[in-house]
Amino acid sequence: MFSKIASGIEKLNLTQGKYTSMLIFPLLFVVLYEVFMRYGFNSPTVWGFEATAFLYGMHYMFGLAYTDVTKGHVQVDIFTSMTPRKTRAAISALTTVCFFLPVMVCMTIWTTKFASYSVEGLERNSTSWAPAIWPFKIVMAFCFFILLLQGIANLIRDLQTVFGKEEN
Amino acid sequence: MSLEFMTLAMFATLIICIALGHPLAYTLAAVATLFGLIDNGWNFAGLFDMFANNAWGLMNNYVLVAIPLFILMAQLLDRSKVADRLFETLFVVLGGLRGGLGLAVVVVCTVFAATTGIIGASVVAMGLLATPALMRKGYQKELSSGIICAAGTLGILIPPSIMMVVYGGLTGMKETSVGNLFAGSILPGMLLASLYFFYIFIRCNINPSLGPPISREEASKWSALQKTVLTMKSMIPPLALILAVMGTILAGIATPTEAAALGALGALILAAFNGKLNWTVLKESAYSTMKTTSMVMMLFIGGKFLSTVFLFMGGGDVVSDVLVGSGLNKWVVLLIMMGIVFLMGMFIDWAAILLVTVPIFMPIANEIGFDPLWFSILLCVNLQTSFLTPPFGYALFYFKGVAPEGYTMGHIYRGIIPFVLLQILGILILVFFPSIVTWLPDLFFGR
Repeated sequence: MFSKIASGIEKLNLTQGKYTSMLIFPLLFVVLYEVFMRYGFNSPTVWGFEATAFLYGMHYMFGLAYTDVTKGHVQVDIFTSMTPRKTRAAISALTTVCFFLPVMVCMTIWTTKFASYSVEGLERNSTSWAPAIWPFKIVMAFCFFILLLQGIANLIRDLQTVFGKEEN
Repeated sequence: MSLEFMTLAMFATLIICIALGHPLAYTLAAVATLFGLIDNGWNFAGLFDMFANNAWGLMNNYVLVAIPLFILMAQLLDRSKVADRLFETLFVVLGGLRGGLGLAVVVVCTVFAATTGIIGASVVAMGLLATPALMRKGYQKELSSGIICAAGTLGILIPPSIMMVVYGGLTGMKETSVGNLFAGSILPGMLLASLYFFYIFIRCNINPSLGPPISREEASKWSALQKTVLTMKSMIPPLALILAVMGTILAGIATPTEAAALGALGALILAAFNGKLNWTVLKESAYSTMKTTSMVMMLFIGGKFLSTVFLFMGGGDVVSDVLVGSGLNKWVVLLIMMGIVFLMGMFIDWAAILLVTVPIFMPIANEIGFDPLWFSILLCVNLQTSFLTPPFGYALFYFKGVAPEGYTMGHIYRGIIPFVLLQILGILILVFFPSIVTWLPDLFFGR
């Protein structure tokens, strides 16, 4: 059962990452379009600047969990890599419980609160374009949530290694 | 608990926790959380409201938009095989010299340093590309590993580099804007490249068995004219791309973010010309771009939490009291700060070091009257060593990962020492001749 949960989470994050990584292309397009309009036609858009920031923010926020599931976050494993596999998994499980989970649980709770205030007031940016920013705050909270899920999946995998109950 | 004790305890905890091998970014956030809560009397709401605001602030940081775009450019260039072509040409052009292949590696890395800006990519690419050739020609293993690791890391210094974007986004000061940092790091980058170049040349001339020239037939495969044409053909596309990116920034036409987008467009066009533009390349570039970007940004989030907490509890004042208040000579203070960065470089990577030290050191440098731009570049050159210094030089591990059989960590560690010394020499030169840093920014931006 736990294996199913872990692989479900991993699959979710791998899949969402493959789609959301494509956000880099609209981001590129918007910046280029803005450059083109400003220098080519001397008519900068009102929305280019903010649209750029939104796309960039969503791009890396969705990427946090994807990078984790693909083991892309840097770690100093010089000492732990010398220990046997089970010890390593035990240390990894311990650090996940002590470092990762408390922080990410709180981040998920407080970014959700942060987003819900924004949704209540249907918050907009105080600029001339005045885009709605509450959807992006929801994205932020959601991304911390899926990162938290990924951490739980990692914990399940580590514990299975420790107790020798690996299934695929 | 006294403030001094808290500051010390925080860094001690950080070091211990990092050694446990948990991803660095999460560890930074966790230590920040622990000490933030101790400092504010376990007020969760207060701390995490602040963190949520920090995270949101990063999502709206326009300067940092350049990061994913430069990474995309690097990924596309890497897959379009322009570096391979340049190396194949220089193999013949420079190969006839003693140590010539080593020199070719330095030139390729210097040219592509300017177009990549992330070290992992250039060390891996050069390792795969050049090591087999170096090995076949009987280059000493120590020397070859040193050359590839050291030259491969130039990418992080020579603009456009991600490190400078991170730095500029971190300080938010006018003097250390990304444009100024780019302009300021051009000559120091060239300085390091030429130090490597002459070192290899001189050493191989004293002892030719370290890097024997390629055979006469191979070297005279092409006529001088053909060599010139081929060099031009493989040099011009990347150089044009650098000019487009750096030129628009230095001329004040484009922001670094816009220039990064132009660079990515240029890389797309270059890939198309080389017949490498297809759906697979685009897809894989996008995946790797997201992985690298999010890795850097997660460090940014963790580092931001840590520096916020640290400065909030007054740790910055503790450090500056110890360093400035004790009446130390300003050069001693500089030496201490650089020494700390160098030592940290033995264990953690550049992004984490920048995110932890810059918020603490920049105010101190300002207070004792160092030019902020000069100080920043000095710090960044110093960070070059963080890739190479054992036990934890990332470049060394990247290289080990792709090096052919027979290269041990021992060869790599021994080979890297002269290059670390050269980097320290480079830092000293910048200390004694600060205009190497400041001349170009003054020229272009009239600071």
